[in-house]
Amino acid sequence: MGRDRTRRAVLVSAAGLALGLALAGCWTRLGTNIPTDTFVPPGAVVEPLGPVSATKSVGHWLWAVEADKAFYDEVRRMALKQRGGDILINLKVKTTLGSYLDLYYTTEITIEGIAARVVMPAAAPPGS
Amino acid sequence: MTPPFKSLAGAGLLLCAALAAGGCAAVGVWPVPATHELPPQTRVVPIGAVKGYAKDWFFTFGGVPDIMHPDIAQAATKDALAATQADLLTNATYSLYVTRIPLGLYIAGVNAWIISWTVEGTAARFEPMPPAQPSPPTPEPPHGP
Repeated sequence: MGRDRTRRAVLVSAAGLALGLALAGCWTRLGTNIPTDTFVPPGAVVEPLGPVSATKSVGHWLWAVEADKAFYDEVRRMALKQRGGDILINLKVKTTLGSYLDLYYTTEITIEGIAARVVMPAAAPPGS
Repeated sequence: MTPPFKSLAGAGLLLCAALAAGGCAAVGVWPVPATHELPPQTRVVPIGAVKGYAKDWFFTFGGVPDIMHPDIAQAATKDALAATQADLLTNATYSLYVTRIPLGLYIAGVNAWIISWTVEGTAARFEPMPPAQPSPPTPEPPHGP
């Protein structure tokens, strides 16, 4: 009887610890600062429009969703929509991976930067 | 008394299996406007969308490997460029995916790591700038009397 009670206490403690770890999760964050995320041809003029930011998080069981180009472009579009620009300048890109006991994962991308418009120089009229 | 023990033991086994299998340890994304510096007096001619991939294995006894390994990212770039014989990638997006396999079951710090880089962008070629068109001679203003 005493042995059963001890066994149950150990199992309940282990389950409680596992639940606590699962709820707390484990986080890995990577980030960078970059001057611009888009190639600007030489001679083009960049006109800043204002600060923007966007975040998106996706969850998945058993493996993490990759922070790939499609995911990044989606968050980028969300950010640019706020000001209607073409590119982002002076931006921070942060990626966060959340892991819950290697059973459930979240992938999050956050973008903070300045939306800007690219103005190409007008072609000179022939003969000018 | 036994049924709850059995279910708890089953849950414990599932948990142990998940931990032993390991999983994703890090993900990241880096947008890069151009992978190479433009030489002077050149222009960039886009060829088309490309994708490159490279991965490598590492083993550690405690600690973590260089998850931002530049050689793997460079190999992914070369893989993307090889298909089209391009000179550079523009509007490239680098994605990092790190998987950890806990060979020591988190008790001993023996881990295997798979570090993979994927790059997607526009392959492009350098071309010399076209020579500037000489402007036609301006007509002489008419001389007055």
